[in-house]
Amino acid sequence: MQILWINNDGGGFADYVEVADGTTVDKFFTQKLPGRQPEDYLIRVNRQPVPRNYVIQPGDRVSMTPTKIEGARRA
Amino acid sequence: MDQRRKYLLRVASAIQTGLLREPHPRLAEAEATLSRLCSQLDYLKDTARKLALCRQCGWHLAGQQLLQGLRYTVQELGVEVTRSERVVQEPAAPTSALGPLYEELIQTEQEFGEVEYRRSEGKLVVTTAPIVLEDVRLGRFEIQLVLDRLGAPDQRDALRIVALEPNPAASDERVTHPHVSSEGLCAGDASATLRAALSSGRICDVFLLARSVLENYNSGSPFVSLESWDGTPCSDCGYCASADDTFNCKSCQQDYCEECISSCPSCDTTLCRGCLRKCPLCDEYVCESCLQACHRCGARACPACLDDNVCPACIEKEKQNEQGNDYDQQRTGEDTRGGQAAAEAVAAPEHAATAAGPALHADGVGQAGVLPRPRRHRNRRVRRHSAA
Repeated sequence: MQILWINNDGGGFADYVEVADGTTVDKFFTQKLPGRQPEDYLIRVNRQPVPRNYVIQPGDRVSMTPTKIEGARRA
Repeated sequence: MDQRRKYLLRVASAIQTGLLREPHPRLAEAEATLSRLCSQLDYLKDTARKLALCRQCGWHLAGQQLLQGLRYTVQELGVEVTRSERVVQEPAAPTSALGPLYEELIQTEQEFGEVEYRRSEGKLVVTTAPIVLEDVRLGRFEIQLVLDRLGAPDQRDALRIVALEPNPAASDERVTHPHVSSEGLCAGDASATLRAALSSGRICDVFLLARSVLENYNSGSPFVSLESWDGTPCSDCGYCASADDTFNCKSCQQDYCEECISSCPSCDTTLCRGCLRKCPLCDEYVCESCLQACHRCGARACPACLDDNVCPACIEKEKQNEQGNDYDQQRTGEDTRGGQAAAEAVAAPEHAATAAGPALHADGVGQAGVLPRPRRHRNRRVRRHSAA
């Protein structure tokens, strides 16, 4: 099935991606952001917070935004 | 349709107007992306030249610092290259339809509690919760989105960060947050992501990303570090002073406040009291290098006390020696004339008592005066001591 995935970690791209049926949000997170902790992200499906065992549906809009990002000073 | 929904639709319309300000968004995005790439490549070329120079000259520490500064640039370069690929290969699809923009506003309200549209200023505003970083209270911040900058190619100044309960850095009141200066956010790792969200019209993501930067402290690259937020402590009394009121001792390199810093009155070098030395002659405090040794005796004194590198004591001694020599010469001259008189007096003893000549020491009335023994003229050598 196809969903819209917005990755606000790194490039910030919005992409349509293929996801296997029955994939939970937790599993999808691990696939797309391996080595990261879900607690460090705002995970929204269709702009709403969802439990980690939420099963992704076709056409869902899934966004992941880090809650702590390193700012800087201009050189 | 309720009032709130109407209001949000009006705001969504204003956002749409800002996004569509650029008539050719794909061209604008491509131009902006490629311009950024070129700037980063120029920076990398310049850094490579400097690294080569560091290697040639053996400036390893400088080379390490250059490498550290490259970190963000290399990271952003990768992101910009990927964006360039996408811009060139795919048509840009910004979210400029009214429906998705309306949904963005609904989500923003849910994430931040409230979103305010300041029509006269053309800004969309949300407010953060109070931010505390490493026990430094920075207060709440307004994240302001300037709508007519949304469609601009570089989106410069599209985001403003305004402190509502300012607690700026002691050294720079423009810095209200380690990563905010003059209301401008330096987004660091979020820069590329913010640009993508801005150009796509993902308003809620813009606000969330800005908040994520504000709620985190990057100690490696702040405008002002939190450790010095309340000022630099004086190494003497501990008072925290701003950068303008902090002075660095040129000798020990420590920082001091206005009250504890001093200077050498001779060469005007800024020094702390601990690095000044007391002149043993005049008790004035001067720097170590201004204390010079007397060329005669080696005693150390300040430039004000030395006269042509000679201390007052040696000068006085010299004067006394010169006076003594003059007196000797004078005495020698007197002795010669007295000797003649004495000889005459011996030859004519009856006239001894009344012989003209220099004053004779009379030991007794009626006796011939006893002439003092002539002094032998000593050859005095002036001792010279090497400087200490």
